[in-house]
Amino acid sequence: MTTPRHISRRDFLGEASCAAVGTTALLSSLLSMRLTLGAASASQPPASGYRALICLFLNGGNDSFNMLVPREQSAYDDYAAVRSSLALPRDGVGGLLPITVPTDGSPGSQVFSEFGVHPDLPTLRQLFEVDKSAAFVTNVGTLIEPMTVAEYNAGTKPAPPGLFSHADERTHWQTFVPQVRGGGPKGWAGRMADVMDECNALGKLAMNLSLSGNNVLQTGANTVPYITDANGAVQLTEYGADPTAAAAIDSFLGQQYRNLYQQTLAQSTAFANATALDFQAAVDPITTTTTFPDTQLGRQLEMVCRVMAARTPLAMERQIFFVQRGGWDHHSEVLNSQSELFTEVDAALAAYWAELGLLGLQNDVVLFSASDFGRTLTSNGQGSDHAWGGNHFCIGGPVDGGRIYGDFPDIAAGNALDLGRGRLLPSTPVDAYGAELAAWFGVPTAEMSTVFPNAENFFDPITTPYPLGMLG
Amino acid sequence: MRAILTKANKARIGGLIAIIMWAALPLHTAGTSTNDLYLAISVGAGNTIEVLLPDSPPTNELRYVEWSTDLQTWEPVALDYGSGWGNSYPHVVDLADRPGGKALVDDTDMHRRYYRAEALTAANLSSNQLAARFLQQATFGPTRASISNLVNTFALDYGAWMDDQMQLPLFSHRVFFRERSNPTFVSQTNNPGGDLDPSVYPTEVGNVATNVQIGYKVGPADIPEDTNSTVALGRPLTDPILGAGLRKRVIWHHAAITADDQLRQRVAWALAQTFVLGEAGSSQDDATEQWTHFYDIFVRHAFGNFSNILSEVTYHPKMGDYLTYVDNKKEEDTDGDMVPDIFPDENYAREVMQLFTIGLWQLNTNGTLQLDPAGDPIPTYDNGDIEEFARVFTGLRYAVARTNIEIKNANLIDPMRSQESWHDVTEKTLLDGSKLAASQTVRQDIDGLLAHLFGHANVAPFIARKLIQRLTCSNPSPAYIAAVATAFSSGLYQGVGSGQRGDLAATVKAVYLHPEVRIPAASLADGNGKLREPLIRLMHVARAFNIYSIQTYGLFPFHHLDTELLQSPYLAPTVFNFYTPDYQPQGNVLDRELFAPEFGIVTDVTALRVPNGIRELVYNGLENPIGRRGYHQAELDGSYEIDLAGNVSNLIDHLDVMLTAGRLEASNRVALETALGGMPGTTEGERTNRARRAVALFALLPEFNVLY
Repeated sequence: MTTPRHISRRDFLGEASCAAVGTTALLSSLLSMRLTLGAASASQPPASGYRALICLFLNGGNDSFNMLVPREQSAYDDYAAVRSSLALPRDGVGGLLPITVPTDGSPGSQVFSEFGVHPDLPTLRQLFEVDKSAAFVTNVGTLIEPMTVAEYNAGTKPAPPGLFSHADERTHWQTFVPQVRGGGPKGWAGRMADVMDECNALGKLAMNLSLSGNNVLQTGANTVPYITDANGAVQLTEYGADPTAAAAIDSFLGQQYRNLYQQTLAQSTAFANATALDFQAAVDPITTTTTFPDTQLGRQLEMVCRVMAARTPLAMERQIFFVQRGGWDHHSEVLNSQSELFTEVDAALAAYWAELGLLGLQNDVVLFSASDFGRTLTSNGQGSDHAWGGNHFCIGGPVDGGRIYGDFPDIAAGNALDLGRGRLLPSTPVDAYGAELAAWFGVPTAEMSTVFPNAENFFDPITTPYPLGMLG
Repeated sequence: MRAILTKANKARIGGLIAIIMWAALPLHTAGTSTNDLYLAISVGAGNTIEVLLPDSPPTNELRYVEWSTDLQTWEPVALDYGSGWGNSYPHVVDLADRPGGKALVDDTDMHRRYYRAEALTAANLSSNQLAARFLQQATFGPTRASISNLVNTFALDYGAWMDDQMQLPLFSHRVFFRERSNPTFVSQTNNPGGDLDPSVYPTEVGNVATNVQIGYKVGPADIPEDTNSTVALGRPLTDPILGAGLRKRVIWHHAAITADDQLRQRVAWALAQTFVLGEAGSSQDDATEQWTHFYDIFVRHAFGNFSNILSEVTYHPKMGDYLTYVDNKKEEDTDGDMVPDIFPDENYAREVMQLFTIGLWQLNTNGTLQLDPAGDPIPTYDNGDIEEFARVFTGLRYAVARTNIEIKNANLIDPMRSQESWHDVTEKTLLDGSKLAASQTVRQDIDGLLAHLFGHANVAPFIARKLIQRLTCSNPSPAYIAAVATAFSSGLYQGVGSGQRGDLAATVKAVYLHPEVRIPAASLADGNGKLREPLIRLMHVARAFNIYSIQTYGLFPFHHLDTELLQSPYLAPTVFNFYTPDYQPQGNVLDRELFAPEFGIVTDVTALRVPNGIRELVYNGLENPIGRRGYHQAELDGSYEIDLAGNVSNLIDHLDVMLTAGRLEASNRVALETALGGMPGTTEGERTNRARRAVALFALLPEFNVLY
């Protein structure tokens, strides 16, 4: 057996430093500098009072041009023609649920007013059209800098490496640094936690909490998410079984291991064991008033509501949740399968919104969607293939709802943004989408470039923290 | 055995500062120190720094050189465990021959770089520990019998043991299913309303004559209660009836735990995690034969040729269903405007390259990225290639249904057949600019594309890294990947093999017999090894302590492992498997730009549920939450350990073979002795408690969970 070598190494979960930022070796020096400056600077206290964000990740690449569809007749005709076998009927049984948006040139207005929502999203439609607590953001995607179709085709502007691949684009949607492969730049919610961690100075949990496994989004340079699931925390049985066993386990997990994986596992297990005690004590006594559907998303959002209800004993002022539903990679059966998934999403959202009202938190929480990418407008028979820009939604009292932010694209065959087969070049960068959420959440304007290193390529995050006008 | 830094000289050499350090060798058993490790540093051609490396180490010693830019964070850059100096992943730095030995030639443009050398001596592992270590890599876990076999019959000749394993009769998952299926099963659909009507007895598959069943039921009277068994007594008669979706997993667990051809089964599981097929996104998750038929591709070809796997997977209806290219058609104009509006499905065209053959980036034979003049990685294909190859995978449909196989509503067992009228017969351009000619048939086009991909230079390093990561270590050195890739491409391992590209027998031997994973000193490098898959850790415990089942007739219905472990056969959430090859957990692994795929499923709940599941098995047997019932349906036979438990030291010694293969740290041994020594061990009941606690505690040791 070897004796562990006691060379100083940073503690895994403890005192992280700017050194971690330096691991993003592939970043340009400019980008690296922005990150370092941000990580090094002190954060300002944001507005008081509880606020939370919930990322609803539709894993696999939601075919979102069937989620939000133009109903204005000529635009609908273009839609029906390009989508062919995938087009939803405009009216009647199984037809689009009508919504109307302003056309007055204000933020979130469009050139025509008639749009429709997928027929299996009645709750979302209600929140958008009636409550004005939901909005869409259209044709959002992972851009590095402004780019035209001609520049894309000529290769004169950088496109994300691994564009159109699930693993890469899913990561890019979580780092918002799509010029870099992999999770090295960390996730934007993780960077938010890095710059705002003091908000939860007394908090018993990390700012980020995942109900659906490890993810890049919530991993920061200095912070890691707490990762539980819809069933909640468990405790280490052997640890509770006997004090001498617990002492042995503390000894196992507390020491330094020379092997990197041993060290990482020991620290992860120790952290999980310690946090589980606090989590269970605060969350286990809480039940929701609303009955949530017994579905993947229903169970996850139920747990989110329970954790939010426990925010006082957990001493949390700011939280970011990650919930996820897979199954959106509809190369086939998009109509049937997406219908089933939207039915699940909508029922879960209905219960969530009702419970949020009972908790008195509808004005303190914003839920937003994310996904790998949009899909081709054209059909492959019964499905669609990987593409780029897509549509997303935000739900919450602070959202200036009933509006569609960004320019809803012309989706006719051969439109100006078409990279082939109806793969749309995004017209709204993910940075604009994220900046809205982050600014409302309380990221100081001085830190916006830390959280969104590419934002300056599109807008001035100091003077324009709400580039879409959706939340501010 | 701490390495003590004894001297440090700072020298200014040509504007660059290097620190030359000598590190004392660890004390040897005699207690005397040996010669210092010495690094001579000079300026080489082109303003490079040359670090003259120490001599190769004596047996059982690891020597390595680390570099640092801040004297705080040191990273290994070159190491030698007795097989010559080589790079330590991810660094690829030239190691040049110089008078007097090897020199590390550092041509990075860092203005400051510090170097130091260190040596570590490996403990002398016992034969049983060496055998257990190998069997943790090559099987679903060592047993007392398999250790004895490797030590006594094969005298620790791993290659000979592998040769023996490769010629054992294979355990076919499908054959096992059919042998235990009711021979009249296929006639059920022709017997509506009768005793065999699947709507009446939907779980009927089994053979009552053998009393070893997989969900067989014709009526309660046919499965008599085993009144001779205290375990079975009073249990519900439905105990052996396994849920429809569970059967294929029960067969998998049976193979992992009991099959003799362990090496084959282990390699098959590695391949199945490359060519992933999961229930999510598939049809007929309640079927069995079609899934086992697909899995058997990897069982049959584990030591065969990769190209056969690629072909059989591609034509298999389960993959056609999963990646949606069954019924894929050439582009069509459906609205009569003379412009195509339906296009071929791109799904398989993309994933067959990204995941099954060549990956996203051009690789060197040693697995490192090829870079363009700007220093950027070079994509292997672009989206135009995807659109091109989508046209190749047109014109496949399910084979016609037939009798004597499990048919639900389509034939998901026989290879897909071609429908030439659906096939795009235009010319297709391949990655190297060569063409698939116009007017070819479905078979000609698909076989042509598969041959093209199989011949791509990326396949060998891409598949080599995947297999190494699944079987032995997460961050293989470039030399290790190159050795495995060369075995793959040449079809030879040390001159032996078919000589055919894609020979997996040669490839698998290169994976297991490379010195990086065989020489104990190599394992001292801090990035060596891997976090073991949680499913394999659980199977390991089941095997090590002779799990047995009376009530379920020798079958082990593990259940809910997809939520408890985030890993269960046939339940990968997507075609990207349970975790990705490039997953990087926070902390040292990420900071060092290393990878650790299995940490992708370590969360704050699974970090606790995995050891809890093992504890459940140890204390209570196979029941909730890792089983199907609130009472156990299988249990471990710990009689050997209970006998040993009268003496704590003997018990720990034994478990340091069976579970930690000699990796147990001295400090953890002390903690174990304290915890277990405080328990009484006189009566059998006391010894049982002590043995159980010992195993439950071992399951929490990083030395059990991590393999190196």
